[in-house]
Amino acid sequence: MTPAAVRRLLALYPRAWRERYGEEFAALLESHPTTLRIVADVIGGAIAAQARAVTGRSDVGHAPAGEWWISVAQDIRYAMRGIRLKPGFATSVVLTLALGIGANAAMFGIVDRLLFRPPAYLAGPDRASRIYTAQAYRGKEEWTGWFGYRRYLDFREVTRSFDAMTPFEWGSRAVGDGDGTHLVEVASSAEDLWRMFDVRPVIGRFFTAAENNPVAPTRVAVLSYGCWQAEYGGQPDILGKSMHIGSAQYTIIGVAPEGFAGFANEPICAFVPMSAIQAVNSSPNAKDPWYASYSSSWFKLYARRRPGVSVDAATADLTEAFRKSYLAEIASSRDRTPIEQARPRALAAGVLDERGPERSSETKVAMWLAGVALIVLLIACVNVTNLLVGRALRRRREIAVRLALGVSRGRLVRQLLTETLLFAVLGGAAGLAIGQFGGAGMRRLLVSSADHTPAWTDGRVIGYAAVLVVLAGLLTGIAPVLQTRRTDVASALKSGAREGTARRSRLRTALLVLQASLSVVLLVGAGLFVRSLSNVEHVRLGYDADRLLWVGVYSRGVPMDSARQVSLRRDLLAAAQRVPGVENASRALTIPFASTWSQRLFIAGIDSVNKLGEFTLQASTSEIFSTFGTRILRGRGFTIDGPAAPHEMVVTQSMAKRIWPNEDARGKCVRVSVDTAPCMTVVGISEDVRRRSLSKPEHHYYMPIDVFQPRGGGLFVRTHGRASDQKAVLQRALQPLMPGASYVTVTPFSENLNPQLRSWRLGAMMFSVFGGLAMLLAAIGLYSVIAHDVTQRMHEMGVRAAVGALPRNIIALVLRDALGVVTPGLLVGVLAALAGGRWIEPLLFEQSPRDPFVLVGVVAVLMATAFASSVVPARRAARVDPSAALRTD
Amino acid sequence: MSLPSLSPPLLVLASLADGPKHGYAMIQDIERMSGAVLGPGTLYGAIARLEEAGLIQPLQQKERRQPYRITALGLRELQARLESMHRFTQAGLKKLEAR
Repeated sequence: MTPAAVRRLLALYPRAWRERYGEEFAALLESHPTTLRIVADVIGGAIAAQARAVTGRSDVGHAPAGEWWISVAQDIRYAMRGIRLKPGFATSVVLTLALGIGANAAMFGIVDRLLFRPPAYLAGPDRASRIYTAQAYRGKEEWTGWFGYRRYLDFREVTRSFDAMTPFEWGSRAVGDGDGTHLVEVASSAEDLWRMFDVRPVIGRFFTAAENNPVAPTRVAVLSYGCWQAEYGGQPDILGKSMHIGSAQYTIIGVAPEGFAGFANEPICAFVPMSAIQAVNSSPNAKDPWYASYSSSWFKLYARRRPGVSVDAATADLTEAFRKSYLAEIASSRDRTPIEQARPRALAAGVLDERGPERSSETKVAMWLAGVALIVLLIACVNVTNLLVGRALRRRREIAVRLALGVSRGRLVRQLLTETLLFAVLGGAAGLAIGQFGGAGMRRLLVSSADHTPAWTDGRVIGYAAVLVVLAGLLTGIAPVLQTRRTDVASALKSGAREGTARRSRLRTALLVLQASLSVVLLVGAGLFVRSLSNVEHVRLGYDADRLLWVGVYSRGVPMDSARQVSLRRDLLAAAQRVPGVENASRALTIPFASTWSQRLFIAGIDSVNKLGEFTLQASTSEIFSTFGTRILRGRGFTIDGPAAPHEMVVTQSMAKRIWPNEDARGKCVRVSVDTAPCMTVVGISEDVRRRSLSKPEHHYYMPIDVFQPRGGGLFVRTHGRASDQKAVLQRALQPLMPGASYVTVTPFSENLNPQLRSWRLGAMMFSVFGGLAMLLAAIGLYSVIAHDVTQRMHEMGVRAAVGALPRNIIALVLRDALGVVTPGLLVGVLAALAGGRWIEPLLFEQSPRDPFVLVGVVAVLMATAFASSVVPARRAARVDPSAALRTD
Repeated sequence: MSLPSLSPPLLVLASLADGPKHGYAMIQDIERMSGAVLGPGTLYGAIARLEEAGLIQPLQQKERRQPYRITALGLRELQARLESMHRFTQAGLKKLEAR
């Protein structure tokens, strides 16, 4: 045995014992191999030593009655012996429980991160809140958790309930120089961030209020521990050095401790004062400075309540502050909804995003999956119970003998429970390993967490698994215990093995029915999610997402006037079109699922276009339709780019229908932004596009970028094959065109789309895994029951064969029996799935929860499974030799 | 059904009857003597209880191994237990012969 293993085992003993015997005991253990028997023996010894340490009692010889720990140790040894004697049985029980507990550990790890676990280092998590506000919009209250700096300043000034408040945002920003430029996550906040967390810098210091002064900010950066190691090799003399973030230089003043990510749920490279980063980004020509404007929202707002202030009091305080701030906003801008209609209110909610007023569909799916995982565990328990009851039936005579010899029923029950608990403990350990590997994949899909604690060292997951282990141990123990208590010693001893159990136990039948019906429910869920995923993947977006790359253009270090900006973008477009593997390219201003732009529209004959809904815009060059793969249904697209581009517009079908329901939109005049703007003439109608939600197309229109915003935007590039394959080639081709320290970023467009598909992908995958697992367990359960039945009824089959039954009659008999168990289960399951459908409906995509195709498919699959798992025992029954069967007891 | 075998403390006392031994030697000696293989946890459970009851005593430690010797009290206890077992064995065998 290795010294490390010895140390771990020794740790199980009481301290005083270790001090006295530890060294000699370790020497002895090291001379032994690490076998299950030795480990079990040492664990048994440790339990006894602990018990003796607690009670201070000592004895030489056998445990007198009442010294429960000795008999517990004996029970454990007895159970271990049972495992050694029947390793196949034990393995199937442990594996079944491991699958159930593992699925739950993995799901708990995710739900815990989404809903329960506060960010690392957060000080006083129960007092920390994320702030939300709501206002009525067209009569409907809408919540938001995004704010601008002016609102934060108002809240900070007016509220009295909080002792710390900070804005927080993070995003991909370029660091490094020249070819070494790459994107990392950089967060910005106010100085209170460092007060809301219980952190000290590893070296240096954190930034101060003076450095976050909006009027005169200081460009300083605090590195994360990970970035300090990865980007700078952990150099201790990093302080005072300068680093490029975005388009400016920052001085490094400190390093945050390992694992600290602020409120972000992914690793952050650097933390900078919000004022520093905003001062660089904002336009000096804007009407209001960035910190004085209400118009844009880009960060989340966090605050910590003063001790003794309740959530309700804080919420009331915030609502009052929001009303005052809203009035100030109305005073500065005329087109705001009056306060009586807007009915502004605020909320201090939990600090985790998913504890806010609105949950994402990923979290809803995760909660469903956590419930489904519990059903899988229930099925696993039912299966194990079935196996244990089967064994209890086989051991009926043995148990009767032991009862007759004077073993108390209580002792028998304790022994059985010890055994099932031991199975559950082993299953739990194996389950944590399964949860580790399964959970890592799921976590990547669901939460990109900064915290990558493995399941087997995560105290919260282990604690949850331990609770499940105890529950599973007791749950699987109940039925065999009841079976034992019912054992009638006299009749069990008198009967032969055959007579005792010829009729299938009603309990086992009921368990099978339950298993079959739960499997139906899970498989129907799987079917619905798979169909939803297929629907969502086949929905026509109005463009070919897989073949598009987005090129972001960022200037830095060199002042460029408008003309230079325009010519740079033209050069980039021409260069991109020349890259081999590129089919087409177009300049564009907005990116579906990432950025939206809408303007007020004015149309002769329509009072208020904005009352008809929101209309979003794309400004682009003429190639946009062929680059996107968007079809023009009537009319034409744009024909001329550059300064001579005409004032033309293409609108989507749904926008045309919304504004001109019974007319041809072509030739109509639309004025953008102000009613005195030049007329944009509609020249074409394009197919609909989905840009913000997969479930419905939006009202959208296109304008020439050279007319609307000649110096802005980036490029969309359409590739011949998969877009991601061309990413590096394109970046290498375009970067040399960038002047000074400016740079381009190239991202496959599908990266924007993937998060939209996530909840369905996850639902389809996990429901399928869990449903498949449930079906497998049900099949094993059915097989074991039918096989057991057949063995018990060999005598009867022999009689039937002797009086002339043909093998196919016997096969039919067994199969009929099996289907007799499964059919009620299927019926109950289908009814349950129909009844539960309405709860899952909101999570599906254009999919009815009562899809007959899915229901019939699931029933057919389960029938086939039932048939397959009973055909082997049936054939065995058919091969029975009448004379041999009749001779056996 | 299996009857309870000899108790570990009795086996340890018997093993030490012919001279001091350390743990590993006791395990081997007990296996030769009775066929029972004591695990390390079981052995040290017995050693701890016997030492606490004053029936055995540790000697000077050699490297990391700790030899034990049986005390006078231990010898008396072993004698008494073995004699009672002997009486029981003889009575049982006599009954079998009378069949």
